Amino acid sequence: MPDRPLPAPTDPITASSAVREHLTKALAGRRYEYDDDRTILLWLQAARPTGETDEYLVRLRFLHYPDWPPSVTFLNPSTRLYDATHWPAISGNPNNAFYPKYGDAPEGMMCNTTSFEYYFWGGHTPTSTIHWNKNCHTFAATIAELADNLRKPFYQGRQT
Amino acid sequence: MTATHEVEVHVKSLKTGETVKFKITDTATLQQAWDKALDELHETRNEGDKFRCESGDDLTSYLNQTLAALHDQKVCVGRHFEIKGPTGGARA
Repeated sequence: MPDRPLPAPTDPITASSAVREHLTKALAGRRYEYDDDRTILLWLQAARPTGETDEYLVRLRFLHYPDWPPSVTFLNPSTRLYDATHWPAISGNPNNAFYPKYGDAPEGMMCNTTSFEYYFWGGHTPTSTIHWNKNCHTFAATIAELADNLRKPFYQGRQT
Repeated sequence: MTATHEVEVHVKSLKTGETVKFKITDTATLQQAWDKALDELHETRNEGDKFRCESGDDLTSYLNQTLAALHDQKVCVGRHFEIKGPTGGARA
């Protein structure tokens, strides 16, 4: 169960329109698939401290967008399903942590204000300074947060 | 007397993915470049915002230096900058 009742999903047409409006700039230069129904699959490269690279498949879901940020999880690229063994390991970020499993959150949690899960699992109470604001954020902020964690100094390799 | 000239600056807002590019004199400070970028992006500077190089290196300590001085120090020589808003969450 979430900490508090989940908000009603955004009207699908409104959510899809917002995704389409923001998609080009948020995903410029990235490999992705959009299903035209509020789900994006995004392939991200991660650079280990040793210089080797790993690839991850991220699913963003926009059922409550743009009022709330997208839901974020990592998928097994073979099955394209949530898989706790396919999450990256990060360390040292004071503002983000990746939890492949987190309480009752159904598909893990990127514990950061740019992900939907953050607001409804874990009892978080963010200040207005860091809270998602649809008037100044698009899901580009979520992508930036993911990308920051998949490089130095935070990315450590695959979770084991 | 040192000649000044204009340089091209690229600034991406990581809040929206919007990118602007403009020319500005290399005697402008990095703070002035940030301010101009905000105008072009139609954004306001908010508490906790950071100005950084596209490499992710935080440039807060360089804000009072000119673009020419940064170039001389080989700091973000491509002049591709980013504005990152504050976020929060658990400590990894």
